[in-house]
Amino acid sequence: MKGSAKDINLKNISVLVADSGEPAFRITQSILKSFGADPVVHARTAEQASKLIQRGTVDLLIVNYNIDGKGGADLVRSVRENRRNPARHIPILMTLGHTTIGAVTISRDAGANMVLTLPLSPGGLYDRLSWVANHPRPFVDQEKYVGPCRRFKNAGPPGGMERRSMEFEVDENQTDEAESTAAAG
Amino acid sequence: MPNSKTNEARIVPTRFTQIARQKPTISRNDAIEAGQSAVTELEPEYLDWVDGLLRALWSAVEKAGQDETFPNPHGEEAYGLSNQIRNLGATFDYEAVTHVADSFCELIHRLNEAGRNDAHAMRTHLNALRLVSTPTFKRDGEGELGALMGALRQLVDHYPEPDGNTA
Repeated sequence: MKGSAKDINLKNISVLVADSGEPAFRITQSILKSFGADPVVHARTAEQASKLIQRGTVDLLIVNYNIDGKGGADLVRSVRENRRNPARHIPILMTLGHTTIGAVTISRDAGANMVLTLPLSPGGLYDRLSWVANHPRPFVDQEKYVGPCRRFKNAGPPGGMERRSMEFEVDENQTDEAESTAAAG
Repeated sequence: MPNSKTNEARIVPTRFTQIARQKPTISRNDAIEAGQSAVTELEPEYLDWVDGLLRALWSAVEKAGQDETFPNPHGEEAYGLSNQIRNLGATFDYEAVTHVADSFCELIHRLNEAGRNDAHAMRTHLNALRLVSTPTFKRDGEGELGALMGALRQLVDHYPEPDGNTA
């Protein structure tokens, strides 16, 4: 992540950790609680997670890609696409252990804000939470994709060029064209 | 399903972003120190956790070997369990556990992509995991890791790397 992370406040942030494994939850919970987050709740299945999210009390979702087999992406997609869900805009981090490029792309395209590769490090988690808090992205709601705008880069402007003033402006025509090209390919 | 006529792209404030940007904040250094202490306090549970996961993994591997269906649900279960062991090994600095479990994940991934089942390769990985999961191996045996990984690599490389590649 480019640049140093801005300090953040996680006191009383309510977190849902959706992960089949108890050890992974305990580790994630311990780190988050040490940051001040509370409560940090566990969902062992995607169905459990979905029900808890519907209550509207979750501020942040951390979901493992492999919950219920490879059900993490489906869970994220269901959260984003449900217009009756009061929590559809919450930040979602997807955790990946054994990582394939396909899984990263699937996670992004399902609507996750960021991907976290395991093992979880306190510094890595903090940096991503700080990034999400301090670099909000427009929320895109289209037929083919619902979630934070995927058109952003960490790399900064190309060398010798000034930063564009509207960093988060989304050109919907270009996005649709790109997706049409990809679909035709 | 989202309304196809909607072309909404706006920054939506959330409770998370509102609270996260309020003071008092926790500095990155303080957060890392607190987080690492919290993880260290969990280390005594590592051996019991891995032991439980290995037992579940053994059961999944046995069932996967007897099930010729594809996709194999027991193979998927084994993948998830191996992933968990990999992550635990990496969290608590059991390097050998991390490498062997990662190799096991790659094997299952390639088998799934190839629509194949290889009970021998899976059992070999499982036995290797049981060997390297002990504190004794961590203390005395990690010099042998290279030879072990070489042998496991041959089992994995028998199956082609899927197009997606491993990141």
